Amino acid sequence: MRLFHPTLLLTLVTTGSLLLTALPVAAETPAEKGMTITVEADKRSNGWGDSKVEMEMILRNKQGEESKRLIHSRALEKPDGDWGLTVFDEPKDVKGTALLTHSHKAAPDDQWLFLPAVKRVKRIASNNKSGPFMGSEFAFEDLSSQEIEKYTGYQWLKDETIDGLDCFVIERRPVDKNSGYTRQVAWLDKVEYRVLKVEFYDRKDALLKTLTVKDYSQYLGKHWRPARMDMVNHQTGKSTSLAFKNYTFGNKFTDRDFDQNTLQSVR
Amino acid sequence: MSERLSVWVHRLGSILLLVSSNVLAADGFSASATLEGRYFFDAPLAESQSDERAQFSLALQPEYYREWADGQQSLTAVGFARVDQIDDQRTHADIRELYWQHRGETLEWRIGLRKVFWGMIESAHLVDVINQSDNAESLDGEDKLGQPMLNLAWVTGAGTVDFFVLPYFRERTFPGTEGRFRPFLPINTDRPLYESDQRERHVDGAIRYTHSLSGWDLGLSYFQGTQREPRFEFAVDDVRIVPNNPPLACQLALQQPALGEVLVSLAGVLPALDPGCESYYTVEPVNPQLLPAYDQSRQVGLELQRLMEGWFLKLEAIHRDSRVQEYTAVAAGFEYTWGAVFSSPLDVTLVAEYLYDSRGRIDPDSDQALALRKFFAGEAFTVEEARRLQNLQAESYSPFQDDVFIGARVALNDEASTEFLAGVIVDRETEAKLVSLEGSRRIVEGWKLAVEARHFADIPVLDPLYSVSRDTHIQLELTKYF
Repeated sequence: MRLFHPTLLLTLVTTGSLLLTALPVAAETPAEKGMTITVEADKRSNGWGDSKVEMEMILRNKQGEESKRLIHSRALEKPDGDWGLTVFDEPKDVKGTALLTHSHKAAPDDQWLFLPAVKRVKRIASNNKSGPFMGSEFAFEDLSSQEIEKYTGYQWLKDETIDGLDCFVIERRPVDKNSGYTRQVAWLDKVEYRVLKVEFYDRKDALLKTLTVKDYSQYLGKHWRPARMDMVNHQTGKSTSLAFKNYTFGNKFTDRDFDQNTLQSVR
Repeated sequence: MSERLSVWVHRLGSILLLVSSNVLAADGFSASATLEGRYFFDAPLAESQSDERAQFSLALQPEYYREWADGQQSLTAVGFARVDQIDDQRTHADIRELYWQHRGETLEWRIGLRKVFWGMIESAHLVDVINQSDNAESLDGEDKLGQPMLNLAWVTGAGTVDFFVLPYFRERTFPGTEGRFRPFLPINTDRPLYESDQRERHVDGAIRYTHSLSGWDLGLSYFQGTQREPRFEFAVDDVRIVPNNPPLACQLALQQPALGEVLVSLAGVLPALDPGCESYYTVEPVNPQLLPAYDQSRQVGLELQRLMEGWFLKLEAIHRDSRVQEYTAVAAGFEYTWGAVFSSPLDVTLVAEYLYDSRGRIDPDSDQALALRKFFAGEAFTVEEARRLQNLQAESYSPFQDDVFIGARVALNDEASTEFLAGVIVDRETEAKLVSLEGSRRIVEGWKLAVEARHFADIPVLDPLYSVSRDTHIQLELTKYF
């Protein structure tokens, strides 16, 4: 599954026209500025084509006890939302389980799960994305393909500096009524428009989780990818760290690498 | 028995050590070992079944996978072995999978032994026809034997077509005489009956078309060959034909079959009598048993699933046609998942399905039913009843001919992947009930615990499930993953 990777489409065309009409005689409103920033971030994160990566996830409970998850996944950039294939390697009792996702911008994603014990491909409903991914503090919606259309109410809140980097701080509200969040506040650095931090507010609008994204590297001279993400749940005291290894681009993936036949044979 | 078990456990233990030490050396290896304990609440139905209430077994499943040519070619191997404390026939081994796969842009080849799953319904797998069931393993038909095949998948933009050539037929396994979950009469797997002279060498074929669109999944399949599901024919080791003062005109020198001569079917022992004389003789079976009979059949299957606003609507339907029987079976239902229930991480899934089989069930008041009851009880029956039994052999029945299944699954979505399942199948005609409760969780890294309880209630005598009506049990499985 692609992480934090909004893609272009129709919205860019419509917001493009918004930008043209909002001529800068007076300064942009916070909503317009929020949208401008988002669109620019989206534009910069396009054109990666395909990628694959290995992930190590460490779950920590309140007592500091840890458990590990290992996953490898691949992704394909598509006009209507990215396709992803994620395979679970550890824990060993779920090894070989695989999840295929065909995202859509304005419709629920198509998802299929492969269960290796019975060799069964089962379609799953993707309408409830607020549940935890593998028991971690990352919800499915946190890890799915980020599209501009999946949020509304973009607002620029302020500028702030984190770790020596000047950032835009914007707020956005998920469109999906099944989302676990009322709103999110995201910090994007002003130079490269990379997401550095996100605060998640739950259905009661209380601060639920904070995500910090670190150790960005640039690939193919254009695409920034983080090496690490940490999600802390302030209400339960649990946290999850996600480490990314061996990002590879230019794999020449085709649609065939993301179909149900491949889902059944992928390891 | 326990001595023999300890020898086996020791051997398996040394295999386990071998596997675990190899895991680091060859990263294509993995394995799981499961210790299973079952406790039965009631004494078994048949005398020859063991009355041990607590029964243990150990299963091992090693796996190997290797790929090359940038993932285009691969070799998969999955083996299986179980050692059962009580049931000799449940102690068995199988190659579940051993196949080479070649993945191309539009064609995929899979050659060797493999397991294939077809279907969308939870409580019944009507369409799933390729692999033979390993019923020695469990009652639910979810465990399958490896099937030799040549499978070509043709991937197009409008769906995938799978072609199957199935060159060897595998006979169904069943629990043994001493085991539980077996029919009241023991099944003699040493003497299977085949319609085809080629027996297990008959080459079978199948083809399946599948396609997924947004929110829709479709499957259309056709199978032709040796039917995996056997009929059962009644057989005896011996018979005694006892005259009851027949009048002179009916007396005849009956050729009593030699003791120990195994007779394949009742037909071989029924004397050629005038109908008027039949009532003067009774037939006493010795060691009545069931022989699995594998007919040639053709099956057309349909799978359909629609996902709409989180609601799954599902359908599976088959029509099967053989020399002796023709029937239709349909399963339809829905499934819905509530995620993050009450803002907790819990997922709750509800499933409801209806199962129909046009074969219906044996009319319990019929003469045939009476003859059947007698045969099962090992009682003597009249020659006419014996003939009626013969006619019955051409029929087979499903326990799920007019049944409703309701099930729920609760996933805690916690770190231990804890989940619970509860389900009940109720027969609308007979009110027979099959209740199932399951739970599982990871207890520590690499170890999983699973609990299963099954209860059978109100099962009428002539129901195909009658034999398991006293097999209510609870089962614990502890699995270690390597």
